[in-house]
Amino acid sequence: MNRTYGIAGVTAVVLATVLVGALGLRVSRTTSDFYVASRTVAPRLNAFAVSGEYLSAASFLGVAGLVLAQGVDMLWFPIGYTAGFLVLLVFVAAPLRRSGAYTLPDFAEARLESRAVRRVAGVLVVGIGWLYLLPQLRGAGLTLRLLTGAPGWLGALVVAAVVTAAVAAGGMRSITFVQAFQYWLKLTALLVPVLFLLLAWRADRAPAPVWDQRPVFHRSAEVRVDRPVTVTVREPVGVTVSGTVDGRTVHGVSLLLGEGPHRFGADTTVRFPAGAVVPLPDRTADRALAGWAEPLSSSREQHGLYATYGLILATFLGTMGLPHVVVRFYTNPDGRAARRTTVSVLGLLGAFYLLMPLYGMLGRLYAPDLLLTGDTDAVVLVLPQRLIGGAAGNLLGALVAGGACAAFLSTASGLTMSVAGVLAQDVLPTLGVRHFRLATLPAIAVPTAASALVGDLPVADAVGLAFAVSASSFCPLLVLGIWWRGLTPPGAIAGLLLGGGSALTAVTATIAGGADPGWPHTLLAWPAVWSVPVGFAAMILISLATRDRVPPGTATTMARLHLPEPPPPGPPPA
Amino acid sequence: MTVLGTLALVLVGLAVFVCGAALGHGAARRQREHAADGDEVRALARALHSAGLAAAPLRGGLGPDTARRAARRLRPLLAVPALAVTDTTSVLAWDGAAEHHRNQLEARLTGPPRSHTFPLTCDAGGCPVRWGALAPLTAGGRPVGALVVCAATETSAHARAAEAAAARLSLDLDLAGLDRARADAYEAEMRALRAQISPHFIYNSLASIASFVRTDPERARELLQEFADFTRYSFRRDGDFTTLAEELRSIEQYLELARARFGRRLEVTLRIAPEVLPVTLPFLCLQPLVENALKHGLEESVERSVITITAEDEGTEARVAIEDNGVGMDPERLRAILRGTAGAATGIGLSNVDRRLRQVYGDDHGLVIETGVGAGTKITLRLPKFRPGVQAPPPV
Amino acid sequence: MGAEPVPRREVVTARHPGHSDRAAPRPRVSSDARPAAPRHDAATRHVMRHQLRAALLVTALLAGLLGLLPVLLRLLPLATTAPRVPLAVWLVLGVAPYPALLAIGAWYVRRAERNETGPAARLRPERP
Repeated sequence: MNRTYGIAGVTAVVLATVLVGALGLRVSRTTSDFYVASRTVAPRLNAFAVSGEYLSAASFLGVAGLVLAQGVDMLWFPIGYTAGFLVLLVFVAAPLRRSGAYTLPDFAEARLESRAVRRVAGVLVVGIGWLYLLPQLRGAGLTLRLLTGAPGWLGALVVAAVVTAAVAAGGMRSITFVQAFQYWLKLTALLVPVLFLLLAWRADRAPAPVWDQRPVFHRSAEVRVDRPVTVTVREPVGVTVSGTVDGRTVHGVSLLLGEGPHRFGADTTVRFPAGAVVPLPDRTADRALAGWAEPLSSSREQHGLYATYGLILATFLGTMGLPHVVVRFYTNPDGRAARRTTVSVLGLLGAFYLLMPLYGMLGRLYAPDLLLTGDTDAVVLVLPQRLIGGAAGNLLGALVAGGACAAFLSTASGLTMSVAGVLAQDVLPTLGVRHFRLATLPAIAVPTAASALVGDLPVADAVGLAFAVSASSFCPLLVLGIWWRGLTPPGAIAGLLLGGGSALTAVTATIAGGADPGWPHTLLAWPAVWSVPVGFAAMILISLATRDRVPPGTATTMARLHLPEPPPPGPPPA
Repeated sequence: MTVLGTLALVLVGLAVFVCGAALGHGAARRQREHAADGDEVRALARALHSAGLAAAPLRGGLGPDTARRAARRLRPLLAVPALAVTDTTSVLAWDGAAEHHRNQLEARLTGPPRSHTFPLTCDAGGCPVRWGALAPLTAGGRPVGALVVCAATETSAHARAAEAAAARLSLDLDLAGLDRARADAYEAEMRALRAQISPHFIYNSLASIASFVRTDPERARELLQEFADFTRYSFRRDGDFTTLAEELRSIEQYLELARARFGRRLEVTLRIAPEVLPVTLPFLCLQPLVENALKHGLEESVERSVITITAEDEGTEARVAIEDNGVGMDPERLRAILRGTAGAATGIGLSNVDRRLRQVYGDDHGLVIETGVGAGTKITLRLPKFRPGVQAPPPV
Repeated sequence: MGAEPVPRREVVTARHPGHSDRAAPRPRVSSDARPAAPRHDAATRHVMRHQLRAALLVTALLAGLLGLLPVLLRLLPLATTAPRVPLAVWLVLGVAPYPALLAIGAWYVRRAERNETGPAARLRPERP
């Protein structure tokens, strides 16, 4: 990809973001438009903002990459990401808004009248936020590496710096307009290129992708290997290599790769002829290189149905517990607006995810080499150049790069803000609330450091895993808290700790890579199937056992959560 | 299977640890209690502590729930087989054995309770309760209920213990009364501030509306509507809290009326981040500040007055600032006003808003005022987006 | 006017120096923890029952339409085995869910709002 164009695209997005953030206040000078200034955010605008904040690097880059690597089954990811909002709509949206809570710990305290539950919820919010930030920072590293060749940790650092600076300078005074802008940017950055890509595909006589175990180079392709990789060649193939192959340093030599494993060194360029079968990396030897598809794929092949249901449960039930999604509901003026916002979000996310299968299919046709290098997440970024090329390809590439930048910037800033809020209020109470801006530092520094530390490990799964933790801790808390009068503080704490804790343990084990392939790994990589019932069961049983601890204000709280608000201006006195 | 095995092992280990910790904790406590037997001071400290714990629920007033919790904590302390807490007419809570005496006891509750002992009879063999001692519970010097200690034999020690425990419980009932009184005082203060929507303002508004009636009847009609809306909001009676959006809307009406009077001399800029508009805040918290800015800007000088109202998002809080370019205030005098030592009728609005903010949000959420003589004034408030109990009026 | 020195502002708060750095105490607010009137309680239970019924209906729909899909796709051996995944599978997983989710969501919002304004409003009687 042309570096100048890409960097220009990313820079433009960062500048536009800061500009919209700084100027996003509603300013009115004459009293005639004061009314406009004090009007609350309309459901549609808020829906743009929710979608803008929600569509992260995992959606923008990851879904297409997964589809490229593993095919149609991976479309359950975007379905889950969207359907989560439907579950949120029917069980949580309006009552959550009516509770007056800004964060999840706020809700816990408002509903259960207990500081202890609040603290437990706070710790979990920080954990989920950090887990979710990891893949954003990884996506940033990937994008920057492709654009400039910088090492992966640098991208994470740049994003962390931009977010911290923006928050510290007060540049995010009015985040609603920023996030709404980011949604349209992301949609445009995928929609415009895909139209051109489809035209180019038709001009190429519209070949259909073949989804078997052996992807084929549709065209003659030059593959650049950045990091050492061992691949398994199934059919002998004649290639041209510059760099290191099987320990030999060569320069522009044509040679025949026989059947069996071959090792390419770092900074090696390999040219494959058209029609050659793409040699896939040896999964046991170079597990880490296979990107975020890898830990799923090995288990998916064996326990596909279980994994699919794990994914469905985690995403359907986990969305309601994501800290950066919850805080956006506070912006709605009332419960009814919260519902209307959520239903608009369903439409906006659907529009976005409809494009994903196209990128995955085109990627299978025109960028199968990413399977070799393991950078499947880059498929959205590289396609414009592959298919179109020239200045047009560069421009579209810059647009996509800008969109990717918007994706991880918006989600990262939203997450950082909500984690910082909880840190400032609950975890670092000695600092006092005045130090909200100070709290942004640990909020983003920890995941940045973690992303540098775990480096090449398949941490990008963390999105799915963050969903699983949220589904097994906050989903029981919200659903039971809103619909069941019998919930008690000890029950809530037990459910949060057992459900969230067991999911978190499984997540940690998965990220650390401690599990053997096979059932143990599958169980740990898709914890939601068992950890969600654990969370619910713990919450219900312990609540029943501590029936005398039902908060005294439960009836009042329930009335507040479920009865509609009076209309805003108040009825005229009759 | 190794990892599944490890996981199972870890879980079992965790369970064993929790059980062990609970057992160990209990054993340790029992041991501590044994060791303390000989030590009178420690025993006394423990008794005082338990008495405080037992009385604590009554801080919420005398009701079935609080009485039950108090009785449950009190009975081990007095070491009696049964114990009851009553109000003046019925038994609120019975802790311990022999609850079949409940009706018998209830029958005795006629007239104001006074200290006495009485026999309790029943046919049940081996009933541990044969006798009761009643001690009145008082709040504010008035009897409100009774503590009844039941035992197998009549001993003066039990009667005395009942008296002492009742006295301790009464202390917390008194405190509950004080809490209520404080809440009432707070509400009275809110009412008082509400009543302070200044008569001057009403008079001035009506006067300036009157001046339009002939020259511009349409304008006069609009202004009257604004006036009606403004007074309806200011005089409303439900709830202590409102949203920033509603408060700002009332300020707009207020400023619209002010402009009718001052015309082009008054320039107002609003800079509002829309996401903070749903923030809940004490009712009529901003209006006195805007009135203050207007007074310093216009009524005490003749130049053009510029008022800027800013509301920004800052994570878990909203930051609201009201700035004017008026004559400013003498910092020393302002301090006196905020301390409440500046004499009557000056800046009541400012110190009242400051007091209410501190009362609702805590001591670090008072007004921050930047001012100097001739330097204008900027008043900043920080409003948390959520505080338990701080909620706009519930649906009626 | 511009030549005059600008008077300086000073920061004034009513904070007492003694406890300036203490964390804010959590004051009790009088309106908290008052029991709801039984009238409210009846209305709340009524609304909750209806809203929960709507929510569970949506959940059942979701489970029926999307939840059974993995099993169905597994039983009809189309998705994973064939080298060419049939277009129908792509459409079922890539296109069809989104309009369906939106339609279910829109239906739920209509129903939920009717629950709040319709019978519930009638059940919520005299204002004080």
